[in-house]
Amino acid sequence: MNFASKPAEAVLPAVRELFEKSGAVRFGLTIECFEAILEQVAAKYSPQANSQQKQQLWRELRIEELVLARACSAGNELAWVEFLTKYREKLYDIARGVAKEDSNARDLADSLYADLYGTTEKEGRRVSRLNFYMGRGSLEGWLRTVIAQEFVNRYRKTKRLVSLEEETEEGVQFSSANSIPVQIADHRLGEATDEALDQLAAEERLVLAAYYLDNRTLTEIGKIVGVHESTISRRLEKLLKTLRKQVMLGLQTRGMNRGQAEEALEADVRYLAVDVRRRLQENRSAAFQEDNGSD
Amino acid sequence: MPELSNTVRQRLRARPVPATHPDPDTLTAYVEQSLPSGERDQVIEHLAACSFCREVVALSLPSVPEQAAVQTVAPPSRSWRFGLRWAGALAVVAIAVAIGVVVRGPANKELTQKPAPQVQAKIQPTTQTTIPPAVATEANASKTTQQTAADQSGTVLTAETSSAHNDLTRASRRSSGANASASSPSGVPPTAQSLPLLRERGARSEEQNAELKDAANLNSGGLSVGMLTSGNQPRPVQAQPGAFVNNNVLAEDRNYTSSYTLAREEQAREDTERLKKQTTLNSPRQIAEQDAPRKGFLRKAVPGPIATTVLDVVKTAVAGSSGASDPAAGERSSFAGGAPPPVRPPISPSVVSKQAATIPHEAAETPRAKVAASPDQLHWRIQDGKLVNSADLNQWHEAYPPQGDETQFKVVQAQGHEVWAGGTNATLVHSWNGGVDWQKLNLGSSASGDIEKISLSGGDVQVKTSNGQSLISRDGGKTWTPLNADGTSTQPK
Repeated sequence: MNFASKPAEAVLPAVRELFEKSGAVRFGLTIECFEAILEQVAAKYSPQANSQQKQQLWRELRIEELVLARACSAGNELAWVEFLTKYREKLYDIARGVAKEDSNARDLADSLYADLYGTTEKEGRRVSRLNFYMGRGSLEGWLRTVIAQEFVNRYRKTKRLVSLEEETEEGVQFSSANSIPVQIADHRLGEATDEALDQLAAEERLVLAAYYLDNRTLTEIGKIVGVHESTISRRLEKLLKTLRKQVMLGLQTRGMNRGQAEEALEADVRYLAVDVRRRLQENRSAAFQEDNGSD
Repeated sequence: MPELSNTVRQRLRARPVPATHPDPDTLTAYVEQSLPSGERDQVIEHLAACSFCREVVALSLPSVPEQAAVQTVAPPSRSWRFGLRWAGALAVVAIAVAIGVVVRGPANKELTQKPAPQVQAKIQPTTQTTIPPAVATEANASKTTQQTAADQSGTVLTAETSSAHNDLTRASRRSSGANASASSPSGVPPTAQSLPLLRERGARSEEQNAELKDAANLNSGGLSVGMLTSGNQPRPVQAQPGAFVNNNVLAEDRNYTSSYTLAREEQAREDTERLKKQTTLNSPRQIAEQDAPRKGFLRKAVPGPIATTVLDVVKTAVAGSSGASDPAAGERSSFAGGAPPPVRPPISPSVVSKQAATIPHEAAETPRAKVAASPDQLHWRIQDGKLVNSADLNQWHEAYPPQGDETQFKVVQAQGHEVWAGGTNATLVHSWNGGVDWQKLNLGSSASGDIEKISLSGGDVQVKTSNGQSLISRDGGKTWTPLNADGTSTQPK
């Protein structure tokens, strides 16, 4: 680690206290290095913070895990022994939990393990991914998030590749449901909807997106938001009512009367149904044509 | 759930995705609910628009362990049907006992009336006298132990409670080792009832027997001797009629008990410090020897599953510290090929034994008969930073977090269905229904460090953090007031 050294007398008492608590001594980490790590964290998350705010931030850090990660990053053997003892099995379990499949999980975990050790080099020095851990959450949680990110990246990349192959080998495929161009009968409906969505709180939009776009279950959304699933269920019902009411109001302010606004909303749902029916019919007719051709 | 309007779905998807994403640290802190509210709002704003981060967050949620622990929790209040179910059986038993008393009354009367004065004569004076220093035979040791156990439990033995007295006797004999009972000093051969006990003892190793014998010797000086002296030199201890056995057993560690008053805790702390000065533990073997008096002590004082629980915890701790390997550890595959098998971190005996809180509140406040008659009690302890509970003392289940919380717990206190657990970052959680529902409490912005002690006293809850802060709540955790060094709160009640 390359940290600017500082006279020991200048170290804040709070830093000294955290230093003692962190157990950094057993990894041979000096208090100056430790302070530099803390300053790095503060510079990243609270660049404008004063001394008191910084200390508050530092007290909330997982200081022992931060020191362990940085010691591993610096190549301390004792730290690696401790890290492997604590997290190697967990890393594999986490990967299996994310990938839901053993070989993929093994691949993910091995790949991350290599990153953590630092296979890439920058300016002739090994760069460990553990150097990016800042101690805001638990180290185990951080590993889980990093694995999840890697998995999602890989999945999206793979999905794109498969889609291209399918397109070149089998011709143009039906685009996914996500990209169905929706025929909006009246531009005023779109505007009113945007306005209604803008009025929602961020958490409400998150709940809507997770349920209707990502197809998450109520339990999963509850965990994401940090409330019970029954609360999510109630919130969703309430949200839909609020949205409909707001869109109706928006349409009425844009010159529609109540009957027209209701008709526009009903038509909106009907268009989707018609669209799906049309797609199905196209599919069936194409299949018939193939059958006729083969005969 | 009603279907979403097609336009809303499309507009929701079409919202602009932010160019920058939160880093893994921030997302982790979000998942673990440890972000400050301002930052949390920013992350939620981002998640509402970014499907990538939503997916990452959803995948990085810790998988919730099976909720068996929650299911085994006894319901807070049993329905009247439960009572009816057992009412019939109880009525039959009561009638049978009544018939037996009526039919065999005259014969039993002579038998039961004779020993009664002896029991009274033995028991009553000891509540007032000092227990003599034990330089006695094992038989005397057993007797003294019985008396002391009875005294300290505050139970007055009468002819009607002689069965409870016999239970105590059996328990104390069990603790005093195989040698003590096999060669009965009075020359009376072992009865048929004691044969299974003897077989069980015969199966024990010599080492265990030695330990238990040591325990008997220690215990022979009185119940508190094991706690207040080192070695085999008991000192006279004034019997405390009002003191409960469980409190004394676990006085060494306040985390065991749920019902200490603060005054008792202070007394216990003084005793513990005195003991620590006298005794130095260096090896697992010495730890086992140190625990041996407690084993015998527990078996005498708290017969039944509670003593077994504490012993199991101690056994686990000693096994862990002596390097006993977990057979299950080798079976798990490791992702790094050719790497050595995973090493499980040894469990520190002091940590495990301190973290156990298996004695329910009622056990410390009520007579032993009531403790033994509550088999569906949940037992709580901290294991590897996790809050776990068990109904049967064999299967331990993680009881928290229900929502992916990554708090490393340090201490737990249970009082009936009220469970309080504290951990890192001044995290305090509370369950009012035996672990079914949890509430994360806010100790205020000034609270920092790890919660290292929780004390329940009446309706008050007091916590101490590793930073030396003491806070007290008098309204079930809703509001917290910092305590001064002299124990007074800085704000009026």
